[in-house]
Amino acid sequence: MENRRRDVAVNAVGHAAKAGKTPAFERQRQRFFWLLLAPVLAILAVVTLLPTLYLLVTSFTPLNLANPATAWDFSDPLVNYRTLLTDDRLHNSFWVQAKLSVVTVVLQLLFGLVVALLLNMRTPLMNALRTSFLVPMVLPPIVVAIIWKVLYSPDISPAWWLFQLLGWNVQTPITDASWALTAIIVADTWEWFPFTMIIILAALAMMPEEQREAAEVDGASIWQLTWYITLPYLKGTLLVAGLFRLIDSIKTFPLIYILTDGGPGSVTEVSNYYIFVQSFSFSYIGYSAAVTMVLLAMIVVLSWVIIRAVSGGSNAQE
Amino acid sequence: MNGVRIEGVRKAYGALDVLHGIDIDIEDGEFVTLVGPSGCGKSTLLRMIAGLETISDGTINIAGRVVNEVAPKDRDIAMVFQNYALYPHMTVAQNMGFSLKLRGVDALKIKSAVEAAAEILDLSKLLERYPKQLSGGQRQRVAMGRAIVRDPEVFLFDEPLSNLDAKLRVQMRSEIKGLHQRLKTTTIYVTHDQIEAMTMADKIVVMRDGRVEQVGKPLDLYDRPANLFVAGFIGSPSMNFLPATMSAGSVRMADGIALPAGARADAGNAPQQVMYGIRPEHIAVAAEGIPATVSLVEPTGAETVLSFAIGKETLTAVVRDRLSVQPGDQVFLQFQQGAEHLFDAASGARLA
Repeated sequence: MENRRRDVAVNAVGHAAKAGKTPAFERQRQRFFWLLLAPVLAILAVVTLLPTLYLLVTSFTPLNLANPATAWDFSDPLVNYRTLLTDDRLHNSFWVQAKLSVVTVVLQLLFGLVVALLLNMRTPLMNALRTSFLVPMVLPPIVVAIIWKVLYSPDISPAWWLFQLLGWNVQTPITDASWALTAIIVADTWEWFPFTMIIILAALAMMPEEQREAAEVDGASIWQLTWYITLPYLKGTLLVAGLFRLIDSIKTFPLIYILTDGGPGSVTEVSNYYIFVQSFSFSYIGYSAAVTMVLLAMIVVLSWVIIRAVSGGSNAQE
Repeated sequence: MNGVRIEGVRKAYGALDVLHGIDIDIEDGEFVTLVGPSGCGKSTLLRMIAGLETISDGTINIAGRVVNEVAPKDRDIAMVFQNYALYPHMTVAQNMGFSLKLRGVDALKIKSAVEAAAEILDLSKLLERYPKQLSGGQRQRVAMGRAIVRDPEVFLFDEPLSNLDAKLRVQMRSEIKGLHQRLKTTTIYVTHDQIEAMTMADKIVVMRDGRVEQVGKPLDLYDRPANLFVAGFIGSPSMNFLPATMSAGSVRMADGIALPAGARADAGNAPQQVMYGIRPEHIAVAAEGIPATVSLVEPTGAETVLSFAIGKETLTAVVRDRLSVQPGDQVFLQFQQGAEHLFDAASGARLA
């Protein structure tokens, strides 16, 4: 539908081009579109564009809150960008970020997919459970973080009460350098798999019943149906859900702030958290602005990929 | 025995009965259409034969085996869906070969089976295309190809032509009929279009409100409809119905106009309320006969559809001559001798 409308627009432009100039009614229409968009664009400019520009300007200064005059010091505009090239702690944070993002996205897709396929069977049990699966996602992130903090604290955790009962001596993962990131990954997966689940469920609800029935008549077992028909149908949806989660994973903060503080050492210090430390613990606003710009550039690239994937995906569905 | 036998089949959704005991015998190799208005239960019955709906009561027997508890994949049927239900991520060849692949047939055999079916359906050049790259008619052919490749005991068609434009529909209609004449596979075909049913079927099952109204050969249904519903459903334009009273020797409308009924009018002794049916193609404009007023003239080229008022009733006639009549003209109508149908006004059942 969307595409067809776009085709019509393209055709209209195509005809106009053949005629040599845009007809008056078409120009009038365009003006009207801009008029309707204007309020939104104005608000976006004020709340998004201006702060970003300010951030960009700040990233060219060595602004340090201890010395406010540095806010307008443009004597060496690229100093921050030179610094970040050699900042090992920053590079480590990118690596931590990459590990966290890739593993959580894969796990969330996997769990989301499995739970969505189960829920889609529409048995009474599954219908009753459906809403409860959404709980982790709708809880405030800070609450989720506190829940996991409790779960990971041996003194008060019901899990450790059980471990003790079984006679197991288990260390808490959040203070263990080799397990802290895994602890964050588990919590993050728990918090966000409902997101992929609900997107996949929506896609499953849209799946033409006839395709499933045709496969049934063709002789497909439930596994063959899932493998040959349902999964290929969901391919585009999985891609989009995964990319959305990927972008969002770069913003991970409450879990790390509450559970590990980026530690032990810096094993759970993602870029986002590193920026926070630089600006609010060390007051290096200028430097953290520069790091933020780099992160922003990465997110813009990712978003571009998403938009491409989303429009490509909807073409494939037709 | 081969073929399909449906005995006392019922379908209920909770308290709602949609099929009230259907009995149909379908011979091996026969082409049967289930026809009826929307909601008559014809698609539900087809889906029950396919195994996509459970059977509330009665039995369905395919090729000598009761299949009530048999999964769709083990019923040896192939189904063509209304929206074709092609797998969008598979090429035409993959779509057609999918059922064989699931059965573990080896790739070479699948390839030759698909190519043979593609040859029959004129799809050979399209085998590597995806469904979205095909036109409606081509998709329809692929859906049929998918069914043919299986070489099943029974083909099931669920309104397969309703998404095609009028011209393509006529073309595909002939192709499906031709295909059946070559393959001679038992075919059950659901449609709401009585012309499709008439032109294609060996046997038509007319359904209404979850019941079978009549089963018969197309021309038998046309010549001797069992009741008012079948009479009105089969034939286009529909049969005319005139409420009348039959008493010894004659059939008269309320305002006294006598309708020709030949020997049939002698049937009853006591006066009886009847519906007098006459098909539009059995009415001619003549120099004398039943007086009528022309109300509408609709030329279609080969023939002209005329509407008349006789008394308080309206009547449609189809004539092949190009008459120079205008709305408002007074004319006389002759009904073709012996072409009339008489139905009981209360029950709708055919008289004599």
